[in-house]
Amino acid sequence: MAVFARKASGLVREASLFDAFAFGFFDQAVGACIWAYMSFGLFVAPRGELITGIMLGLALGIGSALVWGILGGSMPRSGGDYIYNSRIIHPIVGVIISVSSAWFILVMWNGVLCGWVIYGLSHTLALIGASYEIIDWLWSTQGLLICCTIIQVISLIMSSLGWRKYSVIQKAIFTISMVGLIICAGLLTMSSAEEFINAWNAICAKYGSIGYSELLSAVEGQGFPVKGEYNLFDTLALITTSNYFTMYGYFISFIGGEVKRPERNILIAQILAVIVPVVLALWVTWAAIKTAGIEFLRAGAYIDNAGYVEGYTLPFSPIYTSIAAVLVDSIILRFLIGFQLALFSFMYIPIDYIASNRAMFAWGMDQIGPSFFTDVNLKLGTPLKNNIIIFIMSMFTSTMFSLSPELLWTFSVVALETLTLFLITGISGTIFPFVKKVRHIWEASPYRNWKVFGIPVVTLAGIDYIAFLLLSVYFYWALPALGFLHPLWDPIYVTVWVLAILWFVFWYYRRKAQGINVLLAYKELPPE
Amino acid sequence: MRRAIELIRIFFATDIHGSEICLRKFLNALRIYKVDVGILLGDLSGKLINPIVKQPDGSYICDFLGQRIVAKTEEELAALKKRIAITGNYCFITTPEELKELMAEGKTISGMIDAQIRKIHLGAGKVEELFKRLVTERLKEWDLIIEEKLRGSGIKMFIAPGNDDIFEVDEVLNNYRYAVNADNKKVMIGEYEMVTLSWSNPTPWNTPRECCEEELMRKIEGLVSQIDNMDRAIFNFHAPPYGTTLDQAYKLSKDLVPSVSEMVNVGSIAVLNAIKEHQPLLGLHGHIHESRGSQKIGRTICVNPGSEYSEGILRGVIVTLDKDKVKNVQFTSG
Repeated sequence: MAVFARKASGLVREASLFDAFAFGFFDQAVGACIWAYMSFGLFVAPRGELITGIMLGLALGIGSALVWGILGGSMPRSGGDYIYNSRIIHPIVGVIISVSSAWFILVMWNGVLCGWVIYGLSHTLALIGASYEIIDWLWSTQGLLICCTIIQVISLIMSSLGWRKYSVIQKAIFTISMVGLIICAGLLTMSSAEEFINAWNAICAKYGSIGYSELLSAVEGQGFPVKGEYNLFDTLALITTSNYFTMYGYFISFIGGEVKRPERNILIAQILAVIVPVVLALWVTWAAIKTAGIEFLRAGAYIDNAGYVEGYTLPFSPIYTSIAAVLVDSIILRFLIGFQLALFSFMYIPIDYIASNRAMFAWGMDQIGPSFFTDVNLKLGTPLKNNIIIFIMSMFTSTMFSLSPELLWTFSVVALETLTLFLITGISGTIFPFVKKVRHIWEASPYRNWKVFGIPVVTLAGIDYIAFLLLSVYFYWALPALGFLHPLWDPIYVTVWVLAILWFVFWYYRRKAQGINVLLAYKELPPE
Repeated sequence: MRRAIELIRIFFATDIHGSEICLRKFLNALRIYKVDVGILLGDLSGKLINPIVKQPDGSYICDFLGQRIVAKTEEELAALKKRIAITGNYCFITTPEELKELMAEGKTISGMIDAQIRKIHLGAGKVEELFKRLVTERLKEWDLIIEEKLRGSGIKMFIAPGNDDIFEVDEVLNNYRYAVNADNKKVMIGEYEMVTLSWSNPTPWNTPRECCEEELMRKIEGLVSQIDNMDRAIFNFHAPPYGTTLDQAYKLSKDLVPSVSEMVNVGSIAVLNAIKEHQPLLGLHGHIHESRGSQKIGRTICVNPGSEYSEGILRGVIVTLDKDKVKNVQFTSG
């Protein structure tokens, strides 16, 4: 049975499924996440079974995708967590989480990701045989500062060009990155262990480095468990990095208001943004284990993080990209294999800018920030002033990273993000069907009849999401190497939360003095 | 020396498209936000009719929001009608035979309107007549609701159609007992002068009130010529100015397939030029639901509160005018 329509604006055909998929997937830095998983993950949990670890990430990711997807499809407005948490829990909670996320977590990520990009660049240069001087310079304080500045300037420009131009650049970067990753995966799949060991030993001989077997012994000799059986504790601990594949599709929610047919596209994009990276990760991980062996991957993780092993003189770490790269002689192929790490890592930074500037725009509209937060440059069509503020903040975190790269930024930022943004939004998803003040939204939600044994799917997904987030938090706490209890980070966590609360309090009273009640922006209006 | 005038608080909302819940929220908001004047700009008419088909066994079936709903009792039927009205849609009770007859005219396509996906029958003939009846009936009901809510409140209310509203709407609005139809004329808000225009620049849908930019400019100039003091002027134009944050919509292909993420500017160049040239105090706009925002063009502050009518959420903006200035703009969502 059809509905009747008249000649009115708004009638459109359906957008293609591919568009929705691409939209979600372009925000996934798969190649960089695979590196983080096999490097950081195996370094902190060397006895972990990698394939099972990815499936743990998938279990978290399905909960995450359903929670963010159902919330986004039910409240399809740009602004992400700010919208959901404000409506479901309380506006003040929404503001505090949003400020913590947009101004601290994402900006800190911009510092971390600069490091990832520089790592990818230096790794690529090493793979194609660049001189040690160039690679060393990249990691000098001067090199780090200059590279971080260049990366932030490019991100500022990209995010200020407007969505259309940004999308074109993003697609180009994504395509080149995927080509590099697929070549890498193909080489790992098609090569035998014998071929790899021969190729590896050949390149070691060229650089005067210890070979395959000697490397395993050398790392084992330094007390790192290269050999030995898998164990459950380490396998579970791998979730601290396998979640990288699966919990960042939530970025789609920041532009939820710009997605057509949101009740379908947002959810599909969220789920595909979990499934496809997991499939790629499974493929690359399986192929890397088959070709190089788990012991070699463990040794590689140790060298990549600890940095030094007696006799190892290759200019690059033995990670999955270098395992693939030594199997080919072509400089171009080696370049593509290595460079995808830098490109995938870089892709996140302009996205962070866009997510943050949209959050600031929303605060400005709700009077919890200066009015210029809503200024949009007429020529560019973007909130340029907001972008410049984010640039300045990102330069600060990039500089901090450059001056103290040993501060375990990555895990500490993820821990803050998990405790702040993900857990609170997980709670919002879990209670969404039962909160009276959003009952009308739930009633109009296309997912209200999605139930298992009478329990709404969004609630079950929220419980799953929270459970696996808490599992991650447990390991951030249980594994000192992850930096969760680093003496610098505890006060940073507290400071971020306090500053976010103070931001809201400041604007609440400032606007009150001007005769404005900011809470009016969220006030429930009686529908009768 | 010119006298500075008193502070006035305005609540402005737009594009509620037949949603009675949004109208009621709007009326309640006027008291809650403690404003002096409420302005409800078009579009006022809903876009869809959900047929409720009476079955031989006495039950009713209706396809609503992608689901087939069966109402077995009169209470369930009433609840269904209420749910339909919340989204701004209309409904009518029909029989399988009548439905077949109505479907014989026009064509059925698969598409979506405001995130509601379904088979859509672009009606003609009898369906068009049905729309006219349901649209005007609901607007007449709104007149009663507005009067009941605002009588004795001291709050002024202005209302106007938009490009999506059929011309039969004008007569209904002209006969409103409390709210004033502000379309195509100058009205006074305290000592501020407001001119209102329901027309828009061309859209891909050939809606009732759209015209070319040149014609739109002539209509605007006709209204602007009535303004005595541009420093205290409000342009209440349904179409937003082109190339701003107020006019960004999804890019559409020739076949009306929307881009998932690519936005384009679709506002009016005539409106932009008029604002640039005349520099009124304030521009109140709507039309593009997804483009909520404010933008300064020269001295003029332009706002588009956006619309979430299909979810029953009222988006609006409180504007405080004080001493010939826009003292504050506060967006709301309730």
